[in-house]
Amino acid sequence: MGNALRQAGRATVHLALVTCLTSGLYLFIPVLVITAVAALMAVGAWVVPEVVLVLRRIAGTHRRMTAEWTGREIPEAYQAIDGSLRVRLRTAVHDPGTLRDLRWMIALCAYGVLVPPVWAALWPLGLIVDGVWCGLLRRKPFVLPLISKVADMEARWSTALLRPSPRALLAARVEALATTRAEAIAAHEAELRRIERDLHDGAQARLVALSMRLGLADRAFDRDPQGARRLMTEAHSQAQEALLELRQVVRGIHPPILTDRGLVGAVRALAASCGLEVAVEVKGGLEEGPRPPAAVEAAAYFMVAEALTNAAKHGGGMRAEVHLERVRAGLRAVVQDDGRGGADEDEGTGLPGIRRRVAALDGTMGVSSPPGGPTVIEVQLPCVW
Amino acid sequence: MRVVIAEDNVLLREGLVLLLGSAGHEVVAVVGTAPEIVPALLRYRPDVAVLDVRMPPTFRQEGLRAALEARAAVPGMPVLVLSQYVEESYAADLLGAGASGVGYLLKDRVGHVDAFLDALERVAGGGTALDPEVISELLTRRRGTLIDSLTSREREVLKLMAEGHGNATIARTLVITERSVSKHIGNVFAKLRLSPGDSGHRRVLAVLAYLNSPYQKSS
Repeated sequence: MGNALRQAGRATVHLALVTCLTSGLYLFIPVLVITAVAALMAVGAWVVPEVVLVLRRIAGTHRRMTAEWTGREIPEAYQAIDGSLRVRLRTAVHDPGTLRDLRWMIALCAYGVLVPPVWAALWPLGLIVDGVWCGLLRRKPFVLPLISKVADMEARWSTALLRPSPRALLAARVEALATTRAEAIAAHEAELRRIERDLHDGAQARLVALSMRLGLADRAFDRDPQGARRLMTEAHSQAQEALLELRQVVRGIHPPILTDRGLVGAVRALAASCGLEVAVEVKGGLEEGPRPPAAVEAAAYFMVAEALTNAAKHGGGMRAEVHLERVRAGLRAVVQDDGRGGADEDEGTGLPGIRRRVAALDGTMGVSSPPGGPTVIEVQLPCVW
Repeated sequence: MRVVIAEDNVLLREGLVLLLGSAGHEVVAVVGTAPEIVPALLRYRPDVAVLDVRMPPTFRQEGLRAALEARAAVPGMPVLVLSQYVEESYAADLLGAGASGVGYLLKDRVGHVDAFLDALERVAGGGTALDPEVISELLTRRRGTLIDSLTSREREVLKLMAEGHGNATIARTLVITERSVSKHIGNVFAKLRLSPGDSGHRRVLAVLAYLNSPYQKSS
């Protein structure tokens, strides 16, 4: 009986929340009607996208409530409303999601009238009937569980109403792919430009200066051996610096250690040289099994490198942990430090660069850095093993 | 000679100042960004300007544009443009506004100090100094034209001539006599159907104009 009561209570909370939402919706409907009229008269066209956005938010709230009850996420697939008024208006009206939302809204209004009386009536009935049934006859309660059934039913048809059509889901997926693809190309171009500039300003300029010194030394050799010697010394140090810069550029393109020792070895080398006490944990046979694709290895490596550099430079902590795991869908890498947190992804170019790199591989990246720490950065990179 | 240098890389700037100083030239101004170039050139009126193609703020082809602008303001102002890469269209732009007092060299050539100083003096004297790679590119592009009728020796002579070298230098480089250089040049002109009357620098201009003009197939 206690169990049944608790379960019925939970169901009631869910149903009550939905009812509250429905009441809110009743208030929203006049706004909707006014907007429709205003839009028809073409004076208030600008409010249409705004109202659609509000509608999306209300639907989003209902999605979260339903997901809370069923434990299953309901995906969202709306077209982004932005750009000029004309574009926003067109998107707001043409997005199939808008029509679905309207349908959902009307259904919910009906729900607000029909369903709450049912579960409201089930309670006194359940308390009396189940009280007698269980208390006196020691049978299983059967009225109170009906409230859960009502909540289940509500969640089922809410899910059906709120779930985007397969077409919209596909369109959203295509849009996301187009964006990440464009970003991947842009990131690639930016990377090439960066490499070109690094080479142009660094090693190449040094080699020209070096060649100039050697040419001058050659000229001065007979009449001023001392001066020639000095020029040679300068040329020598410039050759060293050119080599150093080339090494750095190469490391920035694809760290040679990654080729030589694989991701685990390369991350261990990073851990040893970053100035923090780093524990590296490897799971899922990443070390013994086949290696992930080079792009995935590189993205994970640069993420770990960036996270450890940031932790050592800004975090103020002493220790960090790196987890590398081979999961079914790909590679998971997590870096956690014991610093003071508060990392802002918008500051600097490191993390956004990593995010683009990860997105280009269709991966996801999560950054959590509350004030006081710890900072946790996690990437999931899908790949076939 | 009085020289103005426009180069944004500190290392190369210092190197150029050192190099020109060691050859007894006076560096009257050194500028590091594109907008400073033309005012500096108009103010100092150097005997020759050494310009880097890529300069801040946009690192595109500011040096080249400044060179064209300065030469539009002061016709014939000698400019030697240095570039990290050979871009034949840059050379064409520079030559388009008249080839006298124009130089376009790869930065790498600075290492051959004597050749570089020689080129600088040629440009200052109203001559031409074009990078061998530019000429090679121009010649390659001309494959399938009258150029094909030249012997390899004649082509070598043509190349050196187009780079802006005089007969004496050509003779020394190819280890032949100046007389045979003249003979080869005569042949080149005849085969390319250029007027043989030109002499000295005008001859170079004729060759460059030929190489730089829209080409016709020989057949």
